[in-house]
Amino acid sequence: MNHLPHAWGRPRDDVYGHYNPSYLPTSLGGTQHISSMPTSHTQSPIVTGTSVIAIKFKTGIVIAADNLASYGSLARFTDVKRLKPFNKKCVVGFGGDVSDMQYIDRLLMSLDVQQNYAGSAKEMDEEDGGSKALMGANNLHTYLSKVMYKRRSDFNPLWNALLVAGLDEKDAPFLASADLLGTTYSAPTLATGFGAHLAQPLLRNVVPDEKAVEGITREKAVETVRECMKVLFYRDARSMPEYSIAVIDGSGVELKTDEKLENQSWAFAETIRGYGTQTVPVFVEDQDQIRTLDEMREYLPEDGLSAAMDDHPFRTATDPGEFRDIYLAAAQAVERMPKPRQLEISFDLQVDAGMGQGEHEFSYAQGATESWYQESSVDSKVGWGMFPTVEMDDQVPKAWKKVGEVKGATIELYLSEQNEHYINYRLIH
Amino acid sequence: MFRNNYDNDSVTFSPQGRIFQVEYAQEAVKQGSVVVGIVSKTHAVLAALKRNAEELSSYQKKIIPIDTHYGVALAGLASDARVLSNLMKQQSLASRLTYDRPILLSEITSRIGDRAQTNTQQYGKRPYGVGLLIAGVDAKGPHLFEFQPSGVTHEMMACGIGARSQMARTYLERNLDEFQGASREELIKHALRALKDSLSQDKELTIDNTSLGVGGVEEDFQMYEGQDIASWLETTFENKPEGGEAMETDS
Repeated sequence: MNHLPHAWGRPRDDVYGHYNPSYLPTSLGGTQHISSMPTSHTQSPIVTGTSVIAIKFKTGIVIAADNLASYGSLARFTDVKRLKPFNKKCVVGFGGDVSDMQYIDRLLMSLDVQQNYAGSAKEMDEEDGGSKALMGANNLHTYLSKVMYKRRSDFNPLWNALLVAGLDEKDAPFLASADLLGTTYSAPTLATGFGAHLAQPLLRNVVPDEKAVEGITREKAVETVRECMKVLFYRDARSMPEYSIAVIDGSGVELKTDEKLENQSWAFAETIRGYGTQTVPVFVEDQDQIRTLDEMREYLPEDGLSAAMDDHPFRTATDPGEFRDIYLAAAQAVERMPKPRQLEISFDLQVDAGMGQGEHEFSYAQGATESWYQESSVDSKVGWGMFPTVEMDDQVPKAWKKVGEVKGATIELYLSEQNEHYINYRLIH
Repeated sequence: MFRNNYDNDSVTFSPQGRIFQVEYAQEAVKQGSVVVGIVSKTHAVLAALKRNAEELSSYQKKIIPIDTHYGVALAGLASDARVLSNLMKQQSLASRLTYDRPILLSEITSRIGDRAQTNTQQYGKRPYGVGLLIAGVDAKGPHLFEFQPSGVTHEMMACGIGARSQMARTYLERNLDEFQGASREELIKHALRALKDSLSQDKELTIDNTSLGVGGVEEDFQMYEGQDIASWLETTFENKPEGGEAMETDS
């Protein structure tokens, strides 16, 4: 179950081709008259919740989900509790359609009543084995998976991805998933929705397998889950920073529904590449000791920039990817330089943007900083994926100051609009 | 002639507040041969006396294993017991399928109790003519439940129903204190002795007319008949010479 609830349970376009919706209601792409159409039930979720994540620890389990219910991309309801406790031993986390969640919640409530009438849900601390007679999370999971499978077999699925977390009949931690197809699986860490992509690897770092669960404390598990919720909020556009978290262990269910993300840091966002206008620092040098090209080679990896800086005075990068390789090699080189670094970046751009030749020479130094690549910039004019974007009247960013001639090496870039995918650069010794 | 006008159906009270059809059903239980059940802290045992309609016929089944964790012993109309036991088998399987969990004995007992009770309250229906002892082990430990045609159910430490079962109950009441801590073997012996006490003078327990059902913690419910119970009969009644003779009657 990925981060697109609409796609859940559908044949993949890339495997089976485009889905033929002609028999569906016209609102869903159908082409036929209403009278001739077969009965069609829910074809897509409406109000949806995003990820649920959970992780086992030595004596119990932690599960979390944010409090948002989205209407498409609209953050419609911000106080929806998507973790539902059941009988002191279990918590069910719901991703997907919220109305179907509410339906299942009603099923859970009647199941609870039924269990209490059957006399199996006595107080946990009761002497006659009351806690053993409680339904375990494994029992609840089996039940829910049958409900889900029944509904998909009626062609009327409950559009959810569920995580069932809790203690099983023997009071051992239990975690398993069930989804709108009735598919089930179990693992020491689980995540639904966007979390299946983003949080699951982070959780697996902490608990790679069932054996590792023994070494995880409650505190560590809670910390890991909170960290994952933060990452999910950073990167999932259908998430919010208020969330619910539940810990289930021998002492019962501890459910908190009004948690807030703490210590957010969005610094990483500056480093994101690939979505918009890019910045390209091409060559960097230590200012304290301006290095010659040969000295510079010490810091360079065998391939990458050093290969680029061979004796060929002129090179043609045939695609943006090659250009990027040079950039990455430069980045690695800088990482190896002693700290603190004062860096100098220089460009010698020759631009052919179809308006005649122009020549720009930049040479900037940045104040001492670790995050050189975040701020080094030729003002967004050279970016892979965005060619050609060079303008004739580049403005030198005010935060940068010109430090004069470049020693060492200079790279000349030629950007040609006539042939968008070619970058020419030249090393000048 | 006196004629009872209040026993035509099970929905009519007599002026004394009785429902005769239900009482007649309970009489049917008393016609059935005796069955006994006992629980300890670790085990639940059923013992039953089987009857054969005639010398040449087989014996009527008295103990029915329902699920791996429990079984029932019946006294009364065997055909009604068949209906109830089939229902119990279905419900037990449904519990395993739906919840992946052996059904609780308290739960299955109350289910058939509810079912039996509705039969006493709907026009055109009749009560079940059978009493059951339901014994086995579930998540809460070993249990013994008694079921009556009226729909009444009780959890018991020890119980006997069927013809002449008063004698068995007397034995059980006298030895009640020993049951809780009894071992598996001791419990079986108690059940057999209780069963024996309810027999008329001219009857003996033999490997042919005796059934045993045993369930325990970490032990599936198992029915024992024929040669499998020979050694128990022998050791239980070894001080009685005629017990040994009864043993010889097989083969």
